[in-house]
Amino acid sequence: MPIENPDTSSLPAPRPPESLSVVVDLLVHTGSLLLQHGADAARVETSLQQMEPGLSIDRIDAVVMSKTILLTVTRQDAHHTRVARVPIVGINMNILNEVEQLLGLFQQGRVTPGQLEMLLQRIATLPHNYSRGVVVVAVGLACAAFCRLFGGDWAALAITAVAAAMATWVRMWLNRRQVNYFLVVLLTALTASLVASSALWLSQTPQSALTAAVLLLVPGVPLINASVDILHGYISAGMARAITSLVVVLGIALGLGIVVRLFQVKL
Amino acid sequence: MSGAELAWPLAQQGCWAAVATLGFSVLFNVPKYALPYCALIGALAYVVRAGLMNGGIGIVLATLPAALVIGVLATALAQRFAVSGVLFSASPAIPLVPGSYAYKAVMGLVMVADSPHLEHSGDLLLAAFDNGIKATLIILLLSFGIALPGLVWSSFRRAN
Repeated sequence: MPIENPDTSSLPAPRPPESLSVVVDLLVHTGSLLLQHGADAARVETSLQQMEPGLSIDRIDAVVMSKTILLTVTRQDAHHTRVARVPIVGINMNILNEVEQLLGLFQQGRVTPGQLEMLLQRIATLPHNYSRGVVVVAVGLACAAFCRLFGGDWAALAITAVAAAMATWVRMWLNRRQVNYFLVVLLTALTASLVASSALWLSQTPQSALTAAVLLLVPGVPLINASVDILHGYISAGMARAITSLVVVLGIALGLGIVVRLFQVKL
Repeated sequence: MSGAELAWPLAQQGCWAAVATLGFSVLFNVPKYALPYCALIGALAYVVRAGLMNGGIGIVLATLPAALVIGVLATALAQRFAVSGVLFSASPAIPLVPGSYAYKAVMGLVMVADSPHLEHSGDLLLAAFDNGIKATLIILLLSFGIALPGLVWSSFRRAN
C-alpha cells in the first residue's frame, strides 16, 4: 500500500516540538516494528538515528538487542528513557519496506511527527499480501523444489510438497496459540518428517523427501541476521540470534531424528 | 563434456531454485511486483554457486560470488523501484542457506550421545564438526556478500 504524500500546505508553520515522552514512544514504535518483522540490529539503529533531526532533539542513544530496545532521547538538559520488550512476530518484508519508505518521507520533512505515529499504526495493521492457504501451498512447493535439488524423484517431490504444506499449517496453528517456540519447531518437524516418511514405501529416494520436508523450519533470515549483527559489531544481538537459531536447528534434528529412529532409515 | 550437456542440468537447477525462492517470498510477504525479480535473482545466485562447484570450487568459497550476485542485483533494483533492498535479497538467499549442513552437524552431535564406541564417536564428531564449520562459514560469507554491494553503493553516494 503506498503512503499518500500529505498535503504540506495545510501544516501549521512553526509547530512546538513534541514532548520527550511522545518522541521516545514514536522511536520505540518505529524500532519495534522493524525489529519484530525481521530487521537486523544495525538497520534498526540506523533508522532510529535517521529520525533524530526531524524530532528536534539533540541525541538518541539506542541499544538494540534481539528482543529488546533500550532508548534514551536527550533535548538540552532533559532526557527520557524507555525499555521496550519487542515480541518477535515473524519475517514480513512488506512492513520493513513500508517503514523504511515512511522514514524517507519523514527525513525529507514531508511527514510530521504526529502523522508519523498515525502512519506507523496503519503499517502495523496492514493485512498480509497472501492468504494463509496461498502461503501453505507456496511453502509446500518451495520444499518440493528443494527435494528436486537434492535429487529426489517425482514421488518424493509430491510427498515433500504435501508434508511441508501440512507442517506449515501446523506451525501457523501453533504460533497463533502462542506455544513455546521450541515446541513449535519440534512438533512441526515431527509432522513434516512423519508425513514425508511415507516416501519410504512410495519413492526410490526417501532420503531426499525427509531432508527437504523439514527445510521450511531452517531459520534462514535469523541466521543471516545473526551474522550481519556480528559483522556490524552488535555481538550480543548477534549471539542471541545465533543461539536461538541453533536451538531451532536442534529442534529440527530432534523431530527428524525421532522419525528416522522409528523407521530405521539411514540418512 | 560439451557446453550444452553442462548447461542443461544447471538451467533445471535454476528453475527449481526459482520455485523455492518464490515460495519463501510468499512466506515473507514480499509484495507481488517484486516476486518475479526475487525468483530470477534466486535462480541466478543458485546457478552461479552450482556452476562454480561443478568447476571444482568448494561450497564455502562458491557461496561468496553467489551472494555478491544477490547483493548487486538487490541494490540495483532497490534504486530502480526506490524501495528497500531487503525486498529483493532476503528470499533469494534462502536456497543458499546451508540448512542440511546445519542439521547434519547437530544430528552428528546427537548421534555421539547414542554411540557406544569411542572410535565410532570420533568419526561422528569429525563429521559433525566438518558440517558445522561449513555451515557457519557459508552463512558468514552469504551475509557478507549480500551486504557488501549495498554498503559500497551507499558510501559511494555519500562521497558524491
